[in-house]
Amino acid sequence: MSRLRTIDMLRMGLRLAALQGAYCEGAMQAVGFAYALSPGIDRVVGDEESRREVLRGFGEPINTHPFLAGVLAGICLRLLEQGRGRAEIGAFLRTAMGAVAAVGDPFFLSALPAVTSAVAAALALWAGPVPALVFLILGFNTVHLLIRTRALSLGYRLGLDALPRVIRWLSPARSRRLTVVAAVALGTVPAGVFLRFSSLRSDSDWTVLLVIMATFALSAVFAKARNFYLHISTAVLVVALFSEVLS
Amino acid sequence: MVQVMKLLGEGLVLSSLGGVIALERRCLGQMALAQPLLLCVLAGWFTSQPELGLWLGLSLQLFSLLPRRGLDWSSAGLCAAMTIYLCPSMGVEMAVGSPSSVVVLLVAASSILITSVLDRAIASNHALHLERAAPWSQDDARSQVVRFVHGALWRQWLFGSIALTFYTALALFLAVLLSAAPLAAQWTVEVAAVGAPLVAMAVALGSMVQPRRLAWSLAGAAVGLGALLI
Repeated sequence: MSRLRTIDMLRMGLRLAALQGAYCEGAMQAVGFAYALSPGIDRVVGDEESRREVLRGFGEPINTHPFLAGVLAGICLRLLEQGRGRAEIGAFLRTAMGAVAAVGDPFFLSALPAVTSAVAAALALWAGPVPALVFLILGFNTVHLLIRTRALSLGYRLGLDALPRVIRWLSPARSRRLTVVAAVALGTVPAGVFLRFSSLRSDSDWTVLLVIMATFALSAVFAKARNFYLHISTAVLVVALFSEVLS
Repeated sequence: MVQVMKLLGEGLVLSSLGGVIALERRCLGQMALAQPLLLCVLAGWFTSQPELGLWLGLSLQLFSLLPRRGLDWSSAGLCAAMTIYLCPSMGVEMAVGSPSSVVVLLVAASSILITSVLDRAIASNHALHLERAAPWSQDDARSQVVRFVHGALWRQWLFGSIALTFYTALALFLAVLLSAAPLAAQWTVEVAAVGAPLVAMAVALGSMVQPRRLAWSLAGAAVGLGALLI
């Protein structure tokens, strides 16, 4: 048995990117996970027959947040290296994938995209598109790539001890703080929209104030009934279209 | 004839590229680059329509803040970006808030519904392939797994390209159609130019808001309004 090299980590990291691309009903991310692990299994497991047997062990359904699958992959390889059995690794995956998804989903689905998009939108309106695009690319990718790569190496290095540490990185308190920043940035958007796309501001400040208040009232409606957005926003666009071309 | 061939060739290249970007959203970088604001602003710059690119990109980027699984806003961004890029070659000039730009926004935003249905169909299709290949019971399980994943990525690219071509063709067709329609009144364009991003902002804020966060957002609005008035 030999330890994983950096190049193996790199290959696994790249293959983990395909996790969601091979998503299927039933097995969910299992095939993608086995695909990502196979370079590591080749290094960690001695003979060919054992490798085949180990790979078959990953046939059970797996579903977790794709950005954090690396920590599970790293821990699985550490457990394999320690000579743990198929049942033990399977039990670990069944328990850990839910916990990892529970912290990963709010952070990567709501908090991080919200803060990067909202700040980029505000920057685009107030400072121009270049700073907005730079922030959009760097803000999201620095965080998500750092966490993805670090989680894989940490999982392999620390084994089971890596899990609480990764969960601490993405604590709900941190996600909440990010959404507050996003909310403040979103608040500046309506005035920025007038600044950038309208001449109304020079005619009537009261109209601007009224429209901004109406936007916040609409936000409150969407906050109460979140599925309304689909009907209301489509209706607004259709009404705008008709009022433009029908006299 | 030459122009039509040129347009078709351009469309084909763009839809293949679009398939790659759609794949990027799904698996490769996962939102590393496939952001509506980025794609539309770049398309706007290429065609010397920076304000239009910003308007469409901003609206779609704000809509994309809905924290829902399975809604792929990168295809909406791609559809809008490709339409911005192709419109000038068809002799259509879109202004911010014009009927053509509103219809492009509408088609792009609605495309996420078709994409989510398509994503579910692809997941079922993958399950069928997996059942047929049964990699876990094969002797060469590893090469079967590799073959399955490569096949899955190829299908993602293909379906992404086809879907994108469909949305873009629809958006282009409607944009060309509406560019010929006379405007009812100029003020409606002004209202649409402001209204679309504001509705998108309301959707974004509403999807993440709780009473305390709305107060934070109102503080942001006060700062923004102050800056606007000064």
